[in-house]
Amino acid sequence: MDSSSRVGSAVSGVAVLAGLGSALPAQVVTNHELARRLDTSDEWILSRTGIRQRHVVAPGQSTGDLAVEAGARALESAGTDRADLVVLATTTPDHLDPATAPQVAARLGLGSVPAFDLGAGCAGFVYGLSFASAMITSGTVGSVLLIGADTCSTIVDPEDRSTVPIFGDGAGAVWMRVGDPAENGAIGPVDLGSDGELAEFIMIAAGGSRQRSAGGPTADAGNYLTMNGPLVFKNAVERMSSSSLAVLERAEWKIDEVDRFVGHQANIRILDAIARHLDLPRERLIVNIDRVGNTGAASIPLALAQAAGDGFLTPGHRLLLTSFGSGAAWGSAVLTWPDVNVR
Amino acid sequence: MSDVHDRVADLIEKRCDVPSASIAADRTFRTLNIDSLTLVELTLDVQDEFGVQVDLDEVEPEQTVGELVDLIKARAVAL
Repeated sequence: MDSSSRVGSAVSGVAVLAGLGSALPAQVVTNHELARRLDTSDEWILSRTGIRQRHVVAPGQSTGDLAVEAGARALESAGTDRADLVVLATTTPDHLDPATAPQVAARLGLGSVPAFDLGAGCAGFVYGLSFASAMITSGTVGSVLLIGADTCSTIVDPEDRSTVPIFGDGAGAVWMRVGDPAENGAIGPVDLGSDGELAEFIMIAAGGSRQRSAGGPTADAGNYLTMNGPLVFKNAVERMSSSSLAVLERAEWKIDEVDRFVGHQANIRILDAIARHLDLPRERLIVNIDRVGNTGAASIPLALAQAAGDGFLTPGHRLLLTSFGSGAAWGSAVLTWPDVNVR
Repeated sequence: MSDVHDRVADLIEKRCDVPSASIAADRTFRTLNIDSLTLVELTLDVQDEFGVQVDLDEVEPEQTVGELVDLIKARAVAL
């Protein structure tokens, strides 16, 4: 049966997370290695960001490759080889066109299912959770493979000591199906937002229609990510905090009922500032930025996978996810942790 | 010294390990060795402590603690 015929014929319910997988490229770059070629130090990077190392793709390895690896693991984790829809949240697609998701779906053997890339910066995974959840809850599809994947090392200027140390590469994927609201793994309310006034805070200026209509790409014009660090920091703390409170209110959860807080891993000091503002005990934070850096849209599912692997997540745990990224875009969500075998 | 100044000095002490008693109103953030990242964190602390909104371009390294105190007093509804 052509799997595309599943669209529109699913039983309605809520979205339940039932599979989780992740992928990291083999090469690890430590702060000490960066300090050998950039004017920086392990102490400076660690104290300002909490990062000790990051994973970096091999020459020729792409976001799509990592997405396929994570996606395959999520399917295996869920015990299935089907998904009615593939959503790939990324800021670093394999090409500007076509979207990377259809090729990922094809490589995963999923057939001609709907597949598209979702662009919401580092908030892409939570945006994707919201969309997937809505598609399942409405009965439009019965299952979704949502992947967050980024190769941030490919968009930072290798000579820029303010961005190179921060970013890393990786992918995380979840498989969601229709299920019961009382089930562990049920996705709860989501809060999303954007502010286009902050568009220039995090930007790759080159390669799009703005530049092309004005004469096309040039060798040195805005090909790499630029970021206004202080403004991003402040807006990230404010928006992630307020969005978290909004989603908790919708879920009717008190802050002390949150068992685990999974913030987008951009900077440990951002996470600390949010925890302080929300009055959330520090020991409930899931933190893996020290090992992987800022992996963009992969950040949250990667953090979940590593926390599960470390035994830090128990079925039934109440999770609060929150993120902020380029756009600017932000999103928060709540779910209960499923009984899932993470790959 | 006003109560607002004392509360701001306490916030600075927590962030930078500088004794609050030594934080005079005419000290700049730069001379207190408050770097750009810490200044953002301090701004967030001030927002939480006093319930006011402060933009980053209102709290620059060359500004003084006293200028921040004046800004807070002008903005806070009740202290």
